[in-house]
Amino acid sequence: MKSLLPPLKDDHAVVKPASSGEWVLDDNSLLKRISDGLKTTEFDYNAEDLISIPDVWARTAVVKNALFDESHSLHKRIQSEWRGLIGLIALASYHKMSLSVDIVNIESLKSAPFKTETKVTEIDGNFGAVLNAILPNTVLAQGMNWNEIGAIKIDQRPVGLIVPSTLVCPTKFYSGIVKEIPWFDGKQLIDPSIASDIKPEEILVLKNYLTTLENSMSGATISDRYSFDGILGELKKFKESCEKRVASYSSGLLDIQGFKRSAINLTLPSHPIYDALKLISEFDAGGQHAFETLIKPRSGLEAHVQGFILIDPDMPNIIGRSASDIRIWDTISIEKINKDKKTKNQLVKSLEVEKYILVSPEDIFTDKLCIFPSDTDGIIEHSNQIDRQYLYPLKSTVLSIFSPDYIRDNCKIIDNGTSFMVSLRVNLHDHLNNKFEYTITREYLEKDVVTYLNQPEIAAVWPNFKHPKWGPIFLLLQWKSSGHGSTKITFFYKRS
Amino acid sequence: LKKEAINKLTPPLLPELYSALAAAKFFNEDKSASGIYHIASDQSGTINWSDIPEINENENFVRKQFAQTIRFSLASKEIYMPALLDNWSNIKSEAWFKKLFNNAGIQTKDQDDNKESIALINGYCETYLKWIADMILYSEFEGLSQNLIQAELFANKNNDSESLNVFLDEKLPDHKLKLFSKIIHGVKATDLSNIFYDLNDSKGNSNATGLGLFIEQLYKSSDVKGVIQ
Repeated sequence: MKSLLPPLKDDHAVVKPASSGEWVLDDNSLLKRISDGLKTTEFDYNAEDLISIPDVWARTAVVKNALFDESHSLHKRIQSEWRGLIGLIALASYHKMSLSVDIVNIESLKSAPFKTETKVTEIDGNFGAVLNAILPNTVLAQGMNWNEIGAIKIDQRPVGLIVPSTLVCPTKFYSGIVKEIPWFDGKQLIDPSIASDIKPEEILVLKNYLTTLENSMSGATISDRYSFDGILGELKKFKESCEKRVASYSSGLLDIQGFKRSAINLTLPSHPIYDALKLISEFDAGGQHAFETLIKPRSGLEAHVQGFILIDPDMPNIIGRSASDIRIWDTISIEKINKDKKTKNQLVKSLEVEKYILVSPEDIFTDKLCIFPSDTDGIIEHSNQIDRQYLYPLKSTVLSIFSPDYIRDNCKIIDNGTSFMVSLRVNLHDHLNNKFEYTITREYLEKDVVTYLNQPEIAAVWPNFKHPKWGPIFLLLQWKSSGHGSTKITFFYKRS
Repeated sequence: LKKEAINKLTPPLLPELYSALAAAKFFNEDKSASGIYHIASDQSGTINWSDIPEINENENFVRKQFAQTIRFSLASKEIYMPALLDNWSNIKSEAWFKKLFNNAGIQTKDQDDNKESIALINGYCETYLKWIADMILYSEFEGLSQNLIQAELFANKNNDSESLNVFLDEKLPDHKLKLFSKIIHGVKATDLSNIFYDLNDSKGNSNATGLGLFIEQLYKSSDVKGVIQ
């Protein structure tokens, strides 16, 4: 026997009986005083699930009941998760995680409950038989059934089910699987249309997906009226939320010409409405791309490179905008890149196809700043901004972006006494050809300063000779962009 | 579910004894007040006889009744029922047999006619002892002990996790039989030899008939002489 109740709190209001072994009469408030006095943790509906008798189909029942019933204590949470799971499917082209659906035949599980070999031989029970014995029966439309359902997986790990009562049903535990998804709040999936790091074009794709689902439902023959109307109502509200979000963007939207089918192919049970769940789309901007941090290539390089897309982790602080708000490329923001390194790698490849190159401050500034000894002759290629002669702490690759004259005019170095602050002013362009000025900075602490003459890879020493008969200089650069892939650029610069 | 789990019986527990005694008290009284009854134990972590509620005005009635019935059941199971289930020729010369069987009109030749009744009484005694042992041994856990009955003197708890159950000792060894008077805490009780003397010394003043005479006398002889506060 074990104690069934927790102990009483120190400040409980239960009066101890004066005697033992005798029944003591008290009024009906005794049970409440005991209940209130128990040392329990506060029940938080947002954090805990409903506690009930175990049922293998409990989750699908809870999701169905809570999704349509605004008075249900879990309504808001389940609605958020349901929308989040739909977003995972609809926006699979953009979150870049591997989405798949495994069809589960419940009927066949009864006779073959284990796919893998099990060493546990003494278990007599058959989970598959239990699933069959108490199979739910609510279906949205005629032709749907519970004999075949789908297991929605992200990176081969389950996050939800395809079921005929609510179309999708999030599982209870998935937080470790979707933590890089922009509409995951650290505990659960949320409504993508209110997530911060989501671009208007993604919302339009989501809205288009919801419209397709709605249209598919209108062509189906209703089976369970309550659930059917409930799902239809939820889709409508979800769409309205998307429209509200799109309307909140005042500018910067790509000119969406339509939607095209994604290459992502899902296999679902052959039921009505499920066909629409498979229709994952991408927006079609007619080859246009959206960006905000383009540095145009220097004169003479336009034929080889469309431009350089700057990604600077300090940019949100410098310009006072959130990381999720700064659009690097189409639907990718600084925050997305910060969250998931895979995104950056994929972005580099996408940019290469379009002849753009991703650059970050690490690609521009050298690791060390070279300050010459005090008796060094003056360097004529750049103005003296500090007491000592110095080399520009810029990597040679910078010369494929900026001309030496540009660097001379826009690179500043300030001696702060304990460190040197180097900055390079650039013009950033968005896809609508709006321009704004931005300054890339790098602080060099004492440990980052060297005084050797043979500092390698210093752009400032190029070109460091003059000859009246030597006009053009040919330079071969091998640009290793953030360690992924390589871009070779051959160009010439004619001295003025 | 495992088959064992389906077949497993929920053991009786001490809280159920409280509710049973409360029900007995309710039926013993003409009226009861409206409200919530609750009860406390004197000592945290231990249940003593003083914590067990009474069901009527007789002081220590519950304790004495439990003690008497346990002693009756154990004496029956260990001493008298084995003899009565064996050949009566072996006991026909015993004083208690002559006084409580022959005087009730039951002779040695009537053994077969009484065999079934004796087996049923023996079964009742074993079931009662098993119920008591289950309740006592299952109710004890870390943090709660009891000073009511030394059930381990006639039963054992199997701690094998695969088959949690309590079983009665098939035949008590002598050293346990010698502790017969100690089985119930907090009572002044006699040992088995006193019961034997009582039966042999029986006057047979009773309206009971047949086997009832022996059973009644054995039950009376199994009583306790008082309680230790």
